Amino acid sequence: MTAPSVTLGRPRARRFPSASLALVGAMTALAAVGPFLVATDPNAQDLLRVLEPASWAQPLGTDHLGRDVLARVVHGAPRSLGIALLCVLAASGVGVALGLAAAYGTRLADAVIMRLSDLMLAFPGILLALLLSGFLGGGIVPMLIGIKLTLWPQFARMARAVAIGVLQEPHVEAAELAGFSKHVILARHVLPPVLRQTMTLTTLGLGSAVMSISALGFLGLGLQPPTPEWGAMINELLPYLSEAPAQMAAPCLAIFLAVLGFTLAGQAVADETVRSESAP
Amino acid sequence: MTVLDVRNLTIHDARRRALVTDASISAGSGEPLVIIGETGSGKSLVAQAILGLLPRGFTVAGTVAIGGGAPIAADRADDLRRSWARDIMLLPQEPRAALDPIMRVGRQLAEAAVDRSEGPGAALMAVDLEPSVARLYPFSLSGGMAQRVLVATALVGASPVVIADEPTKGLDAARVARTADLLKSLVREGRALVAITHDLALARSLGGTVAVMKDGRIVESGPAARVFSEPTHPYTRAWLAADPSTWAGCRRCFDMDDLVLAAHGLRFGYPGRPALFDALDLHVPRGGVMALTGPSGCGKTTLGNVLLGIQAPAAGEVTWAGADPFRDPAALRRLRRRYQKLHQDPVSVFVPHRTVGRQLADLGQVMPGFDVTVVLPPLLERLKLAPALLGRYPGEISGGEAQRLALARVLLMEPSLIVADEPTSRLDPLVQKEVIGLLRGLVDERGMGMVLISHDLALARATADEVIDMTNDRRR
Repeated sequence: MTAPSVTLGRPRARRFPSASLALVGAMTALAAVGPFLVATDPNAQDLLRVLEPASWAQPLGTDHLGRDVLARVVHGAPRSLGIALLCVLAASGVGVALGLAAAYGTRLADAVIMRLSDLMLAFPGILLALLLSGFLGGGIVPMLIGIKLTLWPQFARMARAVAIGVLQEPHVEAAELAGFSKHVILARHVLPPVLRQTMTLTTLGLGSAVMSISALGFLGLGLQPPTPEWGAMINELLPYLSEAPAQMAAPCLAIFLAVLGFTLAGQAVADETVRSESAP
Repeated sequence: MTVLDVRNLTIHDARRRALVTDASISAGSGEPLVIIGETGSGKSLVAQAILGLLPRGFTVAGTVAIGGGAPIAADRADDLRRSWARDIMLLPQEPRAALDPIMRVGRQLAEAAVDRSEGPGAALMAVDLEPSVARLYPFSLSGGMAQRVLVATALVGASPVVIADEPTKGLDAARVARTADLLKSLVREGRALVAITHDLALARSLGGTVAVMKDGRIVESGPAARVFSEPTHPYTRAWLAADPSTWAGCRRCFDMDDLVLAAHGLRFGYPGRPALFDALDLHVPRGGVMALTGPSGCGKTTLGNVLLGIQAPAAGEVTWAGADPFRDPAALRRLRRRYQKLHQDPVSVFVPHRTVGRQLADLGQVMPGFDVTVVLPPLLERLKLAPALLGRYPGEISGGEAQRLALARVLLMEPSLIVADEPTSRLDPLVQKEVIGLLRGLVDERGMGMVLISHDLALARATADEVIDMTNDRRR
């Protein structure tokens, strides 16, 4: 029977899921096929044609070394987004595994894992990545580790909370009584709802990873020049802001759209999760 | 004086299926009206229509007159909603959810009160609560106290009509009686009470007018005394016959040398609290049914878990066909699948994201030589289950079907003993009778033992060969 309150409280579908999908789709397409479509070498310098405005040959103009800005933005996409994806997948893998271990393991394991995650959460996110990149020198590996370290605790907490709830459900007891092994119960009963719930975090995490990568790049601690990377591009073009504002706006806009897309998509995923759970 | 008059209510869902057809009910001040019917009979939709709360996409025709006012067309939900709190009040199924969690009880009562000069104390006393409850927040109330607070809210408010939606769902017999008394206090205060329920005990004790709904139609209505003593419609008669207190009891003698389960001197308690049970002995012979009964919280489910080897007892021993599962790990491994549980909520024993058929087939992974295509079809036939159900997800199955599927799952493991934990408390009486009959039949056919856990003493007596009342561990 449906209680009247259920009718009142059912969340509405909202927040442009199609717009967020289109944005994420466009960004993915840009990263996947963009570099093949824009054949211009993003690192080819032409010092006779620096800071030129937009033209047919160079739709976004050239930077201070005469490089094609469009080519650099397009070739930067797989780097920014690819690294972000790598970070988030690694963080969710580590986080979900540790969260499940905390929920299913001994009390000691639970305490150790959760205090560790508290410790990581206490660190201001980007600071850790900054420190690591600073000590180990810039480049992709310290950045990956740093961003992953700041992201995994969210996944661990979410996975633990969901898993603890699921482990109380009768179907887990029924499976234990039937003699299924712990691994089967974990894989079949616990993991699917955990993954469904962490989908939101994964999508939102992509947005924040793009931000962190760009921030590190901007500070000169991320990918090193001349690699085209959005954050580093902003840094390089900053001194020429007054002469060539359009050139700098391009990577800014790219970061903005990527983060916006993933954030909206994260919201849409969250709404969908809530809706599918409250459906009769 | 008639304060609620519903005329020719007809409700269609978004796919234009008729869910309620031409239902008319009326209730006067100081009169209870009980709408009884099984799940899906449309009884709750009638209440939702009166409140203007039908789901989006539903169409409704008919009129509703509340508080002696002019009839309002039932499709004018906004006009109906304007009568909330002033003319009509709802006591929802989950009383705690209806209270504001961050407001003290006293303030919530004052908000609803017509006469604000009087404090909340008198209203709380009227429902047998201490006046000091006014200072509590809802989270520190028990379910029963929250229900009392809501009734007190109805008492201080002005609404002449109070709708109670399944007020006794999941309560044991003693609490049903207390809830009935509470609802009667509203009637004594001159309110029209509309109770929607499938609980015959509640309907009997409230009296007044009874309307029996089936498939969206009111098939019989009249004074409770008349409907219960001389039902005219066959459906009402079947329903009344499904009441366990009218079943013929069955009590047989068994060969006490052939036990599937024995327990001696069992004790269990949570630290710092008195033991739930102590020095408890029980024996279940092959083909025998033992019932454990008692109020909620008396330790029935815990005892069931101890008997199944899930929770270790503080003292005493459990014997499964001669072996102790707590001291003999080899026996536990060997016999694990033979000692099974039937859960209260049958849907929840299936993983939500996997079809039922697949989950039954999964059992082959832990049972060597198990071929689901061989053993399942005859079992489905015996349980009167359509094979098409196997392709569905657990959320797409009705309660009765789910309980039979859960039973099929347990039977595939060829158990020696089933502990059935309130297997029918969420089912309608007619379905309950069917499931219990099925369980008894299977116990006889397969020569297994069964422990039935139920808060319903009448059901326990009608089903079991021996009943242990855990209120004071008295055998009946």
